[in-house]
Amino acid sequence: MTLTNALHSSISGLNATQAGIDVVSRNIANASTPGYTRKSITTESVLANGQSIGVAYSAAKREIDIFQQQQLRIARADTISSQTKSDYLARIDTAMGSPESGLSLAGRLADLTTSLQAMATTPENSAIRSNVLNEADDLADSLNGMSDLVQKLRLEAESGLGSAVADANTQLKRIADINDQIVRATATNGSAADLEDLRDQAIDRLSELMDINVVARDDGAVSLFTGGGFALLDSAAANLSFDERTSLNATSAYSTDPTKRTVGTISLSAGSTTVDLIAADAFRSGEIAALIELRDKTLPEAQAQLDELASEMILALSTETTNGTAATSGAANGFDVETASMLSGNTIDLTYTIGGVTSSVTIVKVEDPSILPLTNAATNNPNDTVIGIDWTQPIAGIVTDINTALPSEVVASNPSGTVLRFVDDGAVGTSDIDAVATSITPAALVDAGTGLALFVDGNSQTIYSNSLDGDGQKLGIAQRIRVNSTVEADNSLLVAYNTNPATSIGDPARPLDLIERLTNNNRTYSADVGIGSSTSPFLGTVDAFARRIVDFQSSQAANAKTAVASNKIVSDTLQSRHDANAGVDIDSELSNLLVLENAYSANARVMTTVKELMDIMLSIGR
Amino acid sequence: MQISSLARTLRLQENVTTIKQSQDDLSRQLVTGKKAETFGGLGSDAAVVLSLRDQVTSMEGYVKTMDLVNLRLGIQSGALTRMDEISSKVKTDALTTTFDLNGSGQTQLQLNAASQFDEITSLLNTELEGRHLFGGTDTADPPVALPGLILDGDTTHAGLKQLVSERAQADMGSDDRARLTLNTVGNTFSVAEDADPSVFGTKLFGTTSTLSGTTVTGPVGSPPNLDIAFSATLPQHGESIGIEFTMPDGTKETLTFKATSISPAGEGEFLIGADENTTAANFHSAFDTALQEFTKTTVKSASAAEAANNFFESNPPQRVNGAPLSSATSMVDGTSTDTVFWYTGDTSSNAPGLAKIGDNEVVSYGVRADDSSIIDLMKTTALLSITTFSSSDPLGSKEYDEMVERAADTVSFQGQRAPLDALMEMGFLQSKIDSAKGQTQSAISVSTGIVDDVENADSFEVAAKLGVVQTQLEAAYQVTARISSLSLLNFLR
Repeated sequence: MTLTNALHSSISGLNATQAGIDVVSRNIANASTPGYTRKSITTESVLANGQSIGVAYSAAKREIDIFQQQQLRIARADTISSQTKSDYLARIDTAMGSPESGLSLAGRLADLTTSLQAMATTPENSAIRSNVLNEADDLADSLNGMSDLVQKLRLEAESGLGSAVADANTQLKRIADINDQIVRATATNGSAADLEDLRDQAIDRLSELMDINVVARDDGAVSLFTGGGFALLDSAAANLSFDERTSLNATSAYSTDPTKRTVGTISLSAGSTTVDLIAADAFRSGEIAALIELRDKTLPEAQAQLDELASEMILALSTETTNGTAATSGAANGFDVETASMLSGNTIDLTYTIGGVTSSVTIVKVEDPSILPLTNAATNNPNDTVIGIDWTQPIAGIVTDINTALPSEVVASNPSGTVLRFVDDGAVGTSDIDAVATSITPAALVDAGTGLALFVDGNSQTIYSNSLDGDGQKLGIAQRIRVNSTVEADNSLLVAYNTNPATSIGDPARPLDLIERLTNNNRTYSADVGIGSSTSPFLGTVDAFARRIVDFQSSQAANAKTAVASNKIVSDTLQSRHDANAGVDIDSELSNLLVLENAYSANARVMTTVKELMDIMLSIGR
Repeated sequence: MQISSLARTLRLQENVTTIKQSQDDLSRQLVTGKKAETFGGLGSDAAVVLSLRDQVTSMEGYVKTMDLVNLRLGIQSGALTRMDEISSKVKTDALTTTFDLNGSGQTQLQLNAASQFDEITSLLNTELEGRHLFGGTDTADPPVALPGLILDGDTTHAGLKQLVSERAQADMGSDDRARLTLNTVGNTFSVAEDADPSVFGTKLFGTTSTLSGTTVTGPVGSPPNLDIAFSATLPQHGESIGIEFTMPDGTKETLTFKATSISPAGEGEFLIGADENTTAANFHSAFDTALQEFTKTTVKSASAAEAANNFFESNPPQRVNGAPLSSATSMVDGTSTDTVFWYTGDTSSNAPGLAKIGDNEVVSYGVRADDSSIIDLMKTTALLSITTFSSSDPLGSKEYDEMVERAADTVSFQGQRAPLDALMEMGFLQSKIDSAKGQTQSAISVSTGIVDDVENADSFEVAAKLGVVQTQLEAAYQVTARISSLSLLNFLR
């Protein structure tokens, strides 16, 4: 009977409106919940024999644009990544001090120069000499402090990576759990929309940590892959592990060779295979990628710049270049040099012309044969050929090695003691030795020229000679630089450079020379530290290089801040687009409610009417 | 397109936060006066600021150095001006002095010289904040010994007086003949130096003769010997021969002898005898008398002057070598154990003072106590103050005249470096430094101006921006308030 149909229809109508009101109430309740997407139900008319017998409603569905969500995740990852970098770099920038305070490295070096200038004018005043040592101390402390800060930031990045990896693991497990729940809910055709919301939140958090690809599967679950294509979540969540180190210094570095690696790395283990994700370059964006870049590239570059500054400053102050004395060997002409006081890392600089072509060769004293042969990049000079010679052998062996490395028209020999002689090819006449000189960092503070080893390496007071042995003396020198304690104990050494005849206390020769070495002598700096290029390295005085470093680091910090601002604009725009689409607008929910309210009343009215009609019908014939 | 309520409120919140951050930064700029707190905040201007600040720091250092150098030069100039005054006084006094001895055998000129010598040595020991200015790079100790020690020495060290007396014996010889030996054989008069080589005594230099009939040979040989051979043709009355000697101090003196036929021969004359032998003998005696007087006056004076040179100009001082002194032929270095070294400062060829007054400018400045103009003045006043005379000595007056003449000569600095020359050099340097200082100071103010422009926040601009920001904030708050009441909820029943 059609009345019964009408009844059924209105009952289905009531159900549908009830479901609608339910959804509206849930939407309004969660209007302020972040991550909540607007739910809606669709209704469709139920057909039987071509005629509608009521209304059926679907399970609540989410209003969400998947493509937009993906874009938003990418933009957020970039923003977090640049924010992390900016935070770390801003701390280095702050450590340089404000421009007017003069506490930056460049400012401290300028203060040292000023104190040397005062000493050059009045060398006999012991208070002024002692002030020079104070400024030198401040400069060394400043280098130590900046170095410590850089390594501390690396350690923070390391522990940041540890907690990020732990967080990632947590999210992966959560996503896996929710996946299971969603699969079950979808199978029973229940509403999985709210579960999907939860899962999205977890994926959002994960995408802030690293860039991931989300692949939806047929049964409602998702699979997650890293940007490089490694599976993070397939049927089960993979486990990320991070072997965190608890202390880092300048020598700690990442290496793809596990025996050489001294910092932590992220490994992905799924089943029985383990993959080193950093080696596989799996992280391109997100917080983890930013921390890795900071720990392994940006901060070590800052450390390298500090080390280069410390190294070149020490060498500028202490290196003595002594020209060879003219010598002949039969018909061959050349020069003799004395090598007795050469330390590991000191050099013999040789210039010769063969057949009209002039070549520069730098012979480096080495005491660790495992680092040979040296490349031409071992010295900052881009135009020289570098020959590393193992000095731990007897001098005859040294001469043999030198002769093997040099062309045959240049002949090295050992005429006596520790003297080396370089001569041309004599009567043949195609080669000429233009100059030979030794560059030595003397251990003696007097009777060794007007330079001074004002700074030394570490509390053990080792002379800094830029030795290349092992990892190289330069690595971490900014952390180890100290003022020479012998000079601190007797500050007249800042002036006195000869014992016979004894230097007068008012003789300004040494102070004037120290100033020249710091502020007027141009030096070349390694391009590996990020300043200059290998074909045209930075050429300038030590104080110019210090200013360049301050400028470099502060520009880097400023650029990072700008990058954050521009990334934020993009992600904010995408966020508001996304929210607009997927968020709850209370006004429209309320107006829906009005509609549903009326529909409910109408359906109820229909039911009442049908009931009355049925009563009338049943009371017929009584 | 709908706006989600949550998104709307979040957006408003964020905008308000951004505006407030802006307001905070502007307030900070207004209070501190600086645009940025770190170099990063300066952006691309950081490099300019770094470089200019460094330049300003080093230029300020140079200005301090220039002030100090000019101060030192000023003090040295004062001392040298005084020395110039002293040398003028000695010169004028020397022209008017008379041989009036006081009880200790000295004239007023000599007494003045004594106090002038004291003054000069104390001027040379001037110090400025512990730095002795006249010792070159040896600034810790006074460069000049005490005047008493210089002149008189002590029990173990010989002073100027002792060197003068030693040299006097060596130059005058034991017989007051200035280390010359006279010999006449027959018609030939010979005079020779007593040793060769010998630093002491007078040296025969040359002759000028108008004597007829005489043959003059020499000075020649070793030791140098001069022969005057008279012949039968005797010299005529009025003809003369002049014999030139080189004094110990390098000056030249001539003894002239005139032939006379009138007896007795006067001073500077010799009697023409009957024959050549007699004439030679007469010549010999005239020469001898003149020589001894010459020795006790002129040679003695020249010897004292040369002794002063040996003491003041040589380092180490030179002393007569050997006993007996009167036959000594060479000199020996004085050592720090037996002789007073009047100057103990720096003796190397280093500049007296070096100062860096610009990036590529190092100037040498200052005067040392062993500057030749100062030594000349010291020598003169020292000699004048140590010599004594006796009114009973007939040659005393002549000796005094010789000494005063030599003194006046030295302090007129003819063709020599005078204190005035050193003064002018210092004056030029001071004005050069002054102008360099002026240039540096104006460079400092230009650079500081640029740095201020870059670093400082213009308070007017900041205040204006703050006003704008505050208006924005108020508008944002208004909008927030209005929107919160615009909800359909408020309008339903």
